[in-house]
Amino acid sequence: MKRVALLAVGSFNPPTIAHLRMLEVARTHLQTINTQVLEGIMSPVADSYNSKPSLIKAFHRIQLVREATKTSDWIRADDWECSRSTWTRTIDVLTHHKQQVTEKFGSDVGLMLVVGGDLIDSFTRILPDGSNLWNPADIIRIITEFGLIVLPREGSKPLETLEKMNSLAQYSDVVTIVEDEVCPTAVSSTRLRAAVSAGKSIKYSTTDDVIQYINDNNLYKV
Amino acid sequence: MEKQRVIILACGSFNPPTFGHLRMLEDAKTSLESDGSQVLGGILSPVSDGYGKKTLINAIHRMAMTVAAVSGSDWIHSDGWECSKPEWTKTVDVIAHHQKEAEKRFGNDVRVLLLVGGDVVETFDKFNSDGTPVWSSDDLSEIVTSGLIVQPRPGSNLEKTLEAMNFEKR
Repeated sequence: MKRVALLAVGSFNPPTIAHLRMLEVARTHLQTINTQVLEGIMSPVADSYNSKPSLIKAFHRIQLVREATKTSDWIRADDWECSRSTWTRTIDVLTHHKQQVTEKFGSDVGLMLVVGGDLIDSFTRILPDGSNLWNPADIIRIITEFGLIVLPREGSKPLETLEKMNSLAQYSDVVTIVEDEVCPTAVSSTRLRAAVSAGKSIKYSTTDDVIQYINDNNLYKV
Repeated sequence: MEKQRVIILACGSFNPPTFGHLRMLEDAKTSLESDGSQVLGGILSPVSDGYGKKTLINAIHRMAMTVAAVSGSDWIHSDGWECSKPEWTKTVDVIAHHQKEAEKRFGNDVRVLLLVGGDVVETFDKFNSDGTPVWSSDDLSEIVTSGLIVQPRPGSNLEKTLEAMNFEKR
C-alpha cells in the first residue's frame, strides 16, 4: 500500500469548512485507490506574501488553523512557513515537509499538495513587478515529483487552465481532480471576512473554535 | 417603531441535519434582524415517521441528531412535538402549534415564521401520484400570508413558482 501525507498551503484568512473538506475529500479519494494517508498539514503563508490589509498577521492565522484542526485526528497546523520573514515558494515548502515526513514516517512516504481550483487559476498570474507568480518549472516539479490534487471551486476551471498553459498541457492528466460531492460549498474566506465585518453570523461555515478565536481577538471587524 | 418579534420555524426530515439547514436559520436571522425584527428563537421540527418516505430513519434518531446539531447554538433548539406523533401533521398545524406555544411564552405580539428552502416552494404547485395536490390551496394561502421566509437553493426557481400561483411575496 502506498503511503502519503497531504499538504495544504494558503492564507487561511480565516480557515473555513471548505479548507477542511478539501483535505477530507482528498483523503477519502486516496483511500479508495489504496493509498494510506498518514497526516494532513495546513501551512499558512507568511505575512510577507502580500501587503493587502485584509491579510491579518500570521500570528493569528496559525492560531486560527490550530483552532480549525483541533478536533481532527489527522490534520494539523504547521508554522514553519509562516514563521519565516520572507515568502517561501511552494516547491520549497513541499521540500521542507517532504524531509519532515520522511524523518517521521520513513522514506517510502510521499507528500502531495492539495489545492483549490482557484489556486490553479493563479498559475498564470503575473506579479506587479512583471515576474510570474509561479515558475512553470516549479509547477512541473510539484506535479511530477510530489503530486497535485485539485478540488475545483465554484467558477474555477482548473483543467482548462492547465491545458491552456503550453508548458503544462502534457501533465494535465497526471493531476488528480476530485469534487466534493458530499458537501459542495461556495464558502470562502473572502465571504467570511465580509460577513464578520458586516456583523453577520458565520456560524456553521467554519468551526466554532475558529469563530470563538475571531471574536476573542476582535479580528476582521474593519 | 416597535420591533416585530419573531420565531423562525424550520420543518423538514433532518435525515440527517446538515450545516445547510443550520446556515439557513443563521442567514434568515441575520436578514430579519437587518430588517429591524427581533428574533427570539429558532426551532427545528423533524417530520413524523408517518410522513412515509422510505429513506426516512426512525424519528428517535432524527430527533437525537437535531438535538446534537443545535447543541452549540445559543438560539436554535429542536422540538419533538411534530415527530412524536405517529401520524403526519400538516405544516399549517405545526405552525399553529408553535404559534400558540410562542404566545404563551413571549406574549401575543410574537409571530412564528416558517423557513423553507427554495426546493420546498417548488412543491407548492405539484401533485401527488394519486392526482391530489401536495399542498391544499387553503393551507398554502395561510402559510404564505402568515409569514414565509424562503431561502433559494441553487437550481430552484421559486419566484416563478410563486408568481405562477399568484401569491404575494413578503
